[in-house]
Amino acid sequence: MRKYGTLLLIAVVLAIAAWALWGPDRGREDNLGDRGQQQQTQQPVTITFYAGKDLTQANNKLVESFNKSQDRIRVSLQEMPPSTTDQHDKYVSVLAAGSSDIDVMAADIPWAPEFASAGWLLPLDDRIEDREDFFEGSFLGATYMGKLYAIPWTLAAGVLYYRTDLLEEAGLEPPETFDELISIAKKLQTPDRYGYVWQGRQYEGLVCNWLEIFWGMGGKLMDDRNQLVADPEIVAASMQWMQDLIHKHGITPSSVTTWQENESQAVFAEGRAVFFRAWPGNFEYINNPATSKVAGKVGIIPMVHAPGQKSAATLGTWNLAISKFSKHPDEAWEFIKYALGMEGQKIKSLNSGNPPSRKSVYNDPEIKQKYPHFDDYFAVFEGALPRPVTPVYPEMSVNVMQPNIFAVINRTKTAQQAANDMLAGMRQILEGAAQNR
Amino acid sequence: MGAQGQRNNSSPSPQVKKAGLSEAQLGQLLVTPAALLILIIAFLPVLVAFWLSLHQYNLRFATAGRPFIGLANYARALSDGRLWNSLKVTSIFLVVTVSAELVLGMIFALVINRSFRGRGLVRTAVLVPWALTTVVMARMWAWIYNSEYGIFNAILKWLGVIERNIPWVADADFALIAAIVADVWKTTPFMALLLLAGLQTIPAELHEAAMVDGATWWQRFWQVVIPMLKPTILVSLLFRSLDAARVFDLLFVLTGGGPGFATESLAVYTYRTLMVNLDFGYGSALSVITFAYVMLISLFYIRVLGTQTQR
Repeated sequence: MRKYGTLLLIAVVLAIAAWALWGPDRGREDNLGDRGQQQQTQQPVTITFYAGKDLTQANNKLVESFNKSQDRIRVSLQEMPPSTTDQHDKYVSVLAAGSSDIDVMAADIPWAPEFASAGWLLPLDDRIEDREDFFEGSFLGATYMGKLYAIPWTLAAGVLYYRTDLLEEAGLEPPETFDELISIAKKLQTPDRYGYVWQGRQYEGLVCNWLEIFWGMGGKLMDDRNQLVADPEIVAASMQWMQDLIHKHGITPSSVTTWQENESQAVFAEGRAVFFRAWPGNFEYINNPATSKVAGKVGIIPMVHAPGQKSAATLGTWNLAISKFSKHPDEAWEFIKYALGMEGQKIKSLNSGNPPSRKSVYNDPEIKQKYPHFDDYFAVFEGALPRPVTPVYPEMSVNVMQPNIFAVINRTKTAQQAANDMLAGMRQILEGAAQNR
Repeated sequence: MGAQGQRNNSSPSPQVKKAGLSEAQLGQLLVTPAALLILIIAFLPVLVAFWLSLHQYNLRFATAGRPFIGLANYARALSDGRLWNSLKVTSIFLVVTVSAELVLGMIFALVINRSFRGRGLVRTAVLVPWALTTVVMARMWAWIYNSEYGIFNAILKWLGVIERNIPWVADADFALIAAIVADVWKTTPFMALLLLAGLQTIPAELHEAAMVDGATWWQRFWQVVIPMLKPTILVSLLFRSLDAARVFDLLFVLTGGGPGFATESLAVYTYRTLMVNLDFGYGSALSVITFAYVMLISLFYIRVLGTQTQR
């Protein structure tokens, strides 16, 4: 008995060792086999659409309506975490593994060049038919090395909200320049009401806020060949302007350094601010009587600028893109075509309040009736610019731009110093990228 | 123990010998599955990370491939101010949280070791912070420190200490303190629990003998409790230090490593290098450095622990 026991033991050990060495691989083959069988037996092709969690249910309705419209393709919606940063990191881990789980994905504007350079996206130039119906700036952000890797789905760009009732009462016109904004804010603020609120936490939104000031002062960050051409004087002046809002003019509370969109939105919705820089997506909340005390008293204007300059909003497009690892790129494109068609765009827009990416949708009577303020956005979108379109943008933003802009508004660096540090850091990252290519 | 050992020695050996195995060989055979598993789970990833760290490998540049660059990533690390900063942040965090938790945990343990009415309730209550998920706890503290709606500013205002709301986690000096306070709040119960277990193994006779000898409470604490508790203290310090050396979730949620890089720990920096910059070569080098840092701490404690058990 004992002898057999020992032999049995040896056998078990060998079996475990064998499983450890070959087990996982065999498991993978089995999985593939399963999937292959599924495709043969179930007729409609199933593709997966990854998108950030959407409280408005617009994505569910879009997918549902697409699935009803035909019977060849089933789209299943996979929800991602609501935070853009978390979504990015999750996409990276799935795509870096070369997994075919993702067919279509909703991607924030900076990810198009980043993922394209990593070789994770399918070029879409040959598929798109009616380019001219989209805003030019939104396509710039989706193009990398001359090729289009994503199609704009919903548009967003920085806008300035203001309290129509307060300005009318005081007999004031909405501001167009930086100085007008400051003087009106000073006039209308009270101990319980801030003059101007925005997003000053060290995160992506801070860069968006800063770029609008920088562009509004006539600054240009990079040229068409992705060379850094920024004037350090304008970089410093724009950073200084943001610091002054808090520490010189006193129209922005120092708490702004911990605020993202939600915090500043809550303050404005409580009636505790005159001006509020945010995105079109914030309108639903601040103009809804259930969530806001200032519903019906909200005006929308483009961001202010220096005299003689133009206002430029930071684009915050969400794109649709197809993973290179998708096993069904044609079916994936069918879904994108539907989502970007009149019907798909209307479903998304009417349910979520997000402005559509297609120009012709703005003329649709149903859209016009439900969102009369979309006309205000149209002008903003036509002048809107993307953030630097380079695969190293996320690195530039997180490592160099955010900390330096933040250091100025938080008064740990002078604007001059931060501007120099920021540009030097950006240059270094861009040079590193050029060497890699 | 002794008897069992003898039986093991005498009976199976002849049988094993028939199968051509000495007892030592059988022993080795028996640990093979476990050793293999540990190798695959623990050491293989470390080796792979080390191998990756010898390459230039950025996922964002698919065409650049994956050239072997020797120790260049480590040379880069030496002159990387952000790495040194994150090592500093991690070390401060480690030393301050672990010592505060040890002192507070000891006080808690001593209190709940005494018998009083409602002791069960107090013991449970003390454990609540430890039971919370770190991310939830970090969100909670983020609200406490929130400049507009946070209770911290509200209390200070009510007390008349401050007039205007202060954005605490945006303050470079206070942000790390804020994180340390949150961590101490959460992890002190764990320390208390470990120490309580140690306290309960101290025989009552020792206390009685000391009291007969006329020792005060203070003398008993230093002469009886601390020496008897030393192994427990060292083990709990080891546990906590290893956790603190890899701190990620609390800082990531509470401050995001900011303002600037004031609260960026080694783990947060490594994560950013890997997942934001997609620089897997340098990121792997940072992981290996983290591994070395944690290893050094373990070695330090194991040395101290080792001398303890020898005595």
